[in-house]
Amino acid sequence: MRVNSTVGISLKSQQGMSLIASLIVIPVLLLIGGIAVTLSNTLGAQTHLGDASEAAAMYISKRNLDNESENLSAATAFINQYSGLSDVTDISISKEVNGYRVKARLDTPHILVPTDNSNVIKVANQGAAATASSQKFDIALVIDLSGSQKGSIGDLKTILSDVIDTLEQRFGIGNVRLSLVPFSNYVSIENADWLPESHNRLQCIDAISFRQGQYDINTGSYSYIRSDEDTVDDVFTHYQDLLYISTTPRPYDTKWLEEGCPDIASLPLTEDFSKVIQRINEHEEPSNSGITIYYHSIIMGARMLSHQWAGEWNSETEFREDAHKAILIFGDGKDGGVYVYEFKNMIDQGICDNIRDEGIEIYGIEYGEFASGSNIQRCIGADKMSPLSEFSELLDLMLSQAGIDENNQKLHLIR
Amino acid sequence: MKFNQKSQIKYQKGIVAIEFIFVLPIVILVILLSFDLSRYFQQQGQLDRLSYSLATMISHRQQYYLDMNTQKIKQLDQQQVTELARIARNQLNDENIAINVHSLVRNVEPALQSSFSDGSAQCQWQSSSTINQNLPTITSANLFKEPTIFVVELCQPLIGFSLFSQFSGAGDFTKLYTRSLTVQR
Repeated sequence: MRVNSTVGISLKSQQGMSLIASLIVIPVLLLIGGIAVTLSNTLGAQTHLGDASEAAAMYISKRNLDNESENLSAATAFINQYSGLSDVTDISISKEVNGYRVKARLDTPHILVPTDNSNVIKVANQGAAATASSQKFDIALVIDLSGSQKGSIGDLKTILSDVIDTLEQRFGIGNVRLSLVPFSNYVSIENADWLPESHNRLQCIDAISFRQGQYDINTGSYSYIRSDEDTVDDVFTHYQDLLYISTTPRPYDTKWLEEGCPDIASLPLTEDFSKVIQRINEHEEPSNSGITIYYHSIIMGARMLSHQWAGEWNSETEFREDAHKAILIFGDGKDGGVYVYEFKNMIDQGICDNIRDEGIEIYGIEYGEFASGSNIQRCIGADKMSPLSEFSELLDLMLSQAGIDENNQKLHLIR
Repeated sequence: MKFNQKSQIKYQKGIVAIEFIFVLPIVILVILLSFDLSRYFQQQGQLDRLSYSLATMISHRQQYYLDMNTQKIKQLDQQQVTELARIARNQLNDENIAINVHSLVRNVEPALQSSFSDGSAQCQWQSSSTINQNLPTITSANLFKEPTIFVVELCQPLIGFSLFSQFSGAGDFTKLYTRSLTVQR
């Protein structure tokens, strides 16, 4: 009886159990479904907001108005044109190198997801873009490492690093190539294809020695003497057609070539700027020679860029027909000795004009105590020289003279 | 007592099934609701991403739309939009997607506006002039800096069973719409 009644009670109590269970399960199902739907919606909105922010960043980067409030209103208007983002107003803009970063926030509705007092989930995303020149530029950095620069090695390395950073920012990757031509009296060259294989170590090169033929021991004289005028004509003559190239190898027992030759070799054109930085950092100290000779380095700089020579340095260098070309000379303008008159004579004969006629512009950075009215200023022209502190303006001039303006700036996304 | 016990047990038979009949529609409704909304958001997300990809594609004029003979960038035309429509339909495997593409050349006065579409859309396309008016105003001094803007609108009908479209009559759940824009690159 007792057992039976217990069974009866327990059987009776099962009536409506499914309904009760369902009443518990359905809210849980609703909650899980709500969370899934909310997350799906939130992620979709975040992606859409990121796309819109990226496009807005490209828009204001391309306009490049440098006006904070105008950029903000432009980015807001641009994002609001995206479907579903017409009421996004929480937008901020920060400046990037040659571009902008746009950050946007959006409130999305949520379904059954508990949040802090509000009934929305805040979604944020960002996009950034910058412009860089799409045109190609090959630049030979000709750097005075003579004795007069003895106290400024640290400054020089920092300065060149900054200049290279600036160039890297202003051009798209691969569009600008740099070569390095350090000099004091002469120029140091290493492992160049145009040198005989037996010369594959650091060589001190006299860029105009070809004007003299080879020294004849029997007669005690040079086989041929060429004038400064011939020298000017021979700047771009292919090395195989030159009469003679004077080279002095570095002795095995010292790092110095000879007085007047830098301790680091020239670097042919490269897209890899880290190689340029590395080569500059290998420089320890200028030579003891107090004399600076500019024309060897200018001639070798021109040969780095010219179609007759550019491909002759190593297997990685090649002449780029469509690239703008420039020599950028860093120096104090002080040359000395008889070389002042030689250089002056070469300028009179038109060596600098010859280089320009080959499509290679020459610019100068006044570095150290600059000698006004110097040969180098005559060669380059005062309007194409500037103190280092105004390098950015000089770069603007280089770009505008090369026809590289804002209309052919290429947009690219940045992280 | 024995009889009562048996009758009580018999009475219980099928009660779970009967209760389940009441509960099942609610459970199905909840599942369908979640599925429907999920599908809606997922498809909307796909369409948003696709429209941005197509806008990026059409804006890369130098790369994809260069006349090899004259080396000049081609203007937006119907053929380009038809090609984009084909890409959109292949990507989402849906032949019913419709597309409308605008080109806004804003560095001249008045701005040159053109638009081309492909597919019959259930959506209301934006007019080029409305989009142009809603974009930032350009001062004449900065007119030359203003980039050309491309706008891609996509419309996808929601086909198949949808709780909202069937019973609520809400127009939003019968089609999906998205709009993306970007600048010429």
